[in-house]
Amino acid sequence: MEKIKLILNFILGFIILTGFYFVSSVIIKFLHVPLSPVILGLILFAFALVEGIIKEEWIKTTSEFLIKNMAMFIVPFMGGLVVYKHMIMKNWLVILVVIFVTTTLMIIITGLFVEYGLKFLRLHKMRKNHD
Amino acid sequence: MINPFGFIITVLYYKAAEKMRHIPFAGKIPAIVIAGVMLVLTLEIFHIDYKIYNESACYLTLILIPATIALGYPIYKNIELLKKNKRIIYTAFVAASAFAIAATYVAAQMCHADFIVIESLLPKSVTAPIAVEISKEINAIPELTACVVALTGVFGGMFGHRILKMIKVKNDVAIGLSIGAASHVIGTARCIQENREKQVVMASVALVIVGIITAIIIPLFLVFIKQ
Repeated sequence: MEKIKLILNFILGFIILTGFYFVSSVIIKFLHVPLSPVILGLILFAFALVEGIIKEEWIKTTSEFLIKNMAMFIVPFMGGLVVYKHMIMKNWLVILVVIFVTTTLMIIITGLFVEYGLKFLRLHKMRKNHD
Repeated sequence: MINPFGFIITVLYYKAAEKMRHIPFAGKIPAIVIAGVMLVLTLEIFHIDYKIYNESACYLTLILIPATIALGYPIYKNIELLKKNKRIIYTAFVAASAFAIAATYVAAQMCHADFIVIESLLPKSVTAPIAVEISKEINAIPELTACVVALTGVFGGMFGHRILKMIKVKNDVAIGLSIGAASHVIGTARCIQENREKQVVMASVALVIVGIITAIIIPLFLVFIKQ
């Protein structure tokens, strides 16, 4: 009995998630915006959860399962590399350099921005309270 | 009847790679990288056509659609966090996405990469499912994007904490946001090893929000560039 309930709950979550995909596909088709329907679906899904339109227990099992195994669904794309062998052979050094340089810069800049931004805010609040 | 080979081998490789987590050294390499390398080697060595492989493996990528939408769940779970320190956090999200795109474009352009390679590199700091989706949307190469994303994650996971320590960033919110924004899930996995709850939560929210913002900015950026 418990098991059947779990399976039904899993299917329900799956139907809800794909439902969001179809709704956002229709919206994108009508609006002609350059945004992937999957991303719009994700935004609408988060919004619906926060607003309480969808209950957490309807989608919890499915969402947790899908997120846990996310990397497995990406692996087939990596297999596709064999098709683009020549392009990668030609550009591999550029790709590596760009990854190293931009990722390092990005970690430094975001880290410093938030660290000092939060410090500044705290000082600002303290001064306000002092006055 | 379709050939189930691709589906079976992908699941098998991924599950095997996950089991390697307990082996010292090899356990530090993310399962997606191990499975990806094994898959590419298998296809290359046995001269298996990608089309035959993808005949059934494409059903796995189909599940990626609901899986990506499911990323809305962690946002809902941590919505309180997003309401605190709103201004700084949202500015950081937008700045990080914009900077990542601009820096990648300039760096790749300076190295004279092919334009389609540049396009495939643009979403590299975003979590793989969103990055692949962006890559499809702008007609780049999703296969290349997926690999670049994994490499970025590995790099961020290996050096992220060290870099932040060097420049004396100590706040957990700052560390989490920076790692999550720059090196998505793979970097976040390192935060879990560091055992800092606050970093993990911040990083897992940052990687989804930055992904969404990047998905909105990149198509606009390309329109602007191509003018």
